[in-house]
Amino acid sequence: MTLAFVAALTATMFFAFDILSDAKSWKDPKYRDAAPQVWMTPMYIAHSWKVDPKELGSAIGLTEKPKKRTTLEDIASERGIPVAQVIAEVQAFLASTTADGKIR
Amino acid sequence: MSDWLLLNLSTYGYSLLFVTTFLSCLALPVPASLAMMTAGAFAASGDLILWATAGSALGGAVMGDQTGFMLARVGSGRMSPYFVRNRGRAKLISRARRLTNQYGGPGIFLSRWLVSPLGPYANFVSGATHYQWHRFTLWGISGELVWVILYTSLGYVFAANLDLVAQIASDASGLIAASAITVALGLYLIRAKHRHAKKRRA
Repeated sequence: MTLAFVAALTATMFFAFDILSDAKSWKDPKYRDAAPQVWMTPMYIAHSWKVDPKELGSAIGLTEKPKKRTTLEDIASERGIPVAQVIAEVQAFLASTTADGKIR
Repeated sequence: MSDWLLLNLSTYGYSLLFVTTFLSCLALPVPASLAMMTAGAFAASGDLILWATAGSALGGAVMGDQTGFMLARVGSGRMSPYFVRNRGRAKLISRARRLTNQYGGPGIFLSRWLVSPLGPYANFVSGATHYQWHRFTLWGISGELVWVILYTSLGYVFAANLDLVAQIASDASGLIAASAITVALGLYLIRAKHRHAKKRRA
């Protein structure tokens, strides 16, 4: 039982330290916006980067406003190109809007 | 597992969320809180609808709780001759029954969201000790409501910082569960020491 107590205490301290290090990375700009990933939808990316979904859509080859619940992977397979290319297009679009000072 | 879940969450939306919270209430290692937070973020971006997201997560969790409770109840009925035969085992079971009757309700409520890693086991214990079904259900649904609202709204509000918020939430939930177990074991050890001292004096 004493052993179990020591184990539980160690686990408690481990989680406490982890939270402290999480809190530090809160200020890290790397974590401020979600980096584009395969599972994300254009609408989600537009929401988290505060950009126009329609503009983002046309940057990744969509002719209309992005459909709900369509991931970057779905778009890549529809266009018959690797998903990495779609992600690169999203990144390029986000970089260009940031340069224009459009984000925030 | 998490990657697969994230990739399919927008496509299978509500049904995948239902299945995930259902399985997590039966102690299966599925990332239910991450699923709820991501679905909450999809609700913020307009991919999913917020009330349907919360509703399907709640439905899965409540059904999962009921399944765990019923399985343990039926299972313990079959096992009861085994428990009655031995005096030590019978005593242990009656003690567990007394404890769940005394502290059951709030325990079930808190093990839904505050110490959620213990939730599935609380279901099994409640079912096995024949805790009253209507009390289990009422406390259970109220607790699951808090759990679902907590995580979906975290995802909704912090949609842009999902990675970090998911990390913090999982660490916080681990911290609360680990410290609860630490305190419980500490109290047990103190009590055992007192009992030992009393015996030696007598």
